[in-house]
Amino acid sequence: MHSFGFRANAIVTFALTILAVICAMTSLSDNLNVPSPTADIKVLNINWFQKQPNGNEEVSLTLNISVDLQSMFTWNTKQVFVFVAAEYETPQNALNQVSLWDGIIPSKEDARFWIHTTNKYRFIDQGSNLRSKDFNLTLHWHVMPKTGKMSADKIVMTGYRLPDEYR
Amino acid sequence: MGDILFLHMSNDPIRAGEIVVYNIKGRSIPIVHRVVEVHQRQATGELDILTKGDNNREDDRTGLLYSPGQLWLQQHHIMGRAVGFLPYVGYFTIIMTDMPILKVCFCCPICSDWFLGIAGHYIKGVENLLGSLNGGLDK
Repeated sequence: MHSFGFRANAIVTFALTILAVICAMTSLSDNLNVPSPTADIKVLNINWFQKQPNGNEEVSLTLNISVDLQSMFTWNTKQVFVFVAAEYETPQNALNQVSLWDGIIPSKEDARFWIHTTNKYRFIDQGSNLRSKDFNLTLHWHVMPKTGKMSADKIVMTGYRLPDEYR
Repeated sequence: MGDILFLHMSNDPIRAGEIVVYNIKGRSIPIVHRVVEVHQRQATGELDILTKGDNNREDDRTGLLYSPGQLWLQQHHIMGRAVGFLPYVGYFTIIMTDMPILKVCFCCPICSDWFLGIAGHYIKGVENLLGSLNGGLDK
């Protein structure tokens, strides 16, 4: 009963249990945080808008993305992944979500910024439904904790519209 | 590396931004990447899904992770969504996989008694040595 093996086993089990409890409490402490994120996205320019040889339309835009996610950061936050997606409907597809830009925010200080950029990823439709298309731009963020449950949310911005003609 | 990821699968349709685990036919290791594009059919609700690793420049189709000629993933390719993780705990599993002898040493009761017994003797020996050193210093 008092061999080294039994004692080592008891100590290791106890240590791992304590570790799990501490991780759970750390994760729960995130619920005390009341976040107040804000975001604004402007489409500064439609650079070009063309139909590819395979029949799919593609558009290139320049965006100004302005974000304040400082209130999302707690002591248990490792990083926040943020991305902008264009969302729209077509006759064939009830929902299309296309990610245009993303970034990793490593710390609270970096969480309030604005960026002036063309779309990082290509905006290509399944087909040619984009002329005169109304679309939303949604800013999504995923909070990655040092330990525990990940959380995600978004801000939907409406009122954007693509041109009637190719250019 | 070494983190344990918790996965959960529900029937809710996959949406952009979710981190998913998927398997491609013929590949042995499942891939954990983020969904960057979703196209959902009006009539059937079927989904075309495109994924990409956060740190990769290219999506998984351009990066040749899908089967040749495959443009999209479908919902049935997705094994689960990541919902949380424990850091570093996975190292224990990695070490056990890389050195299978440790599985025997720690998990098989007879061998672990023997292994820990030997370790115990070794530690007792060190204690004695330190004890005699301290005793020597006290005098």
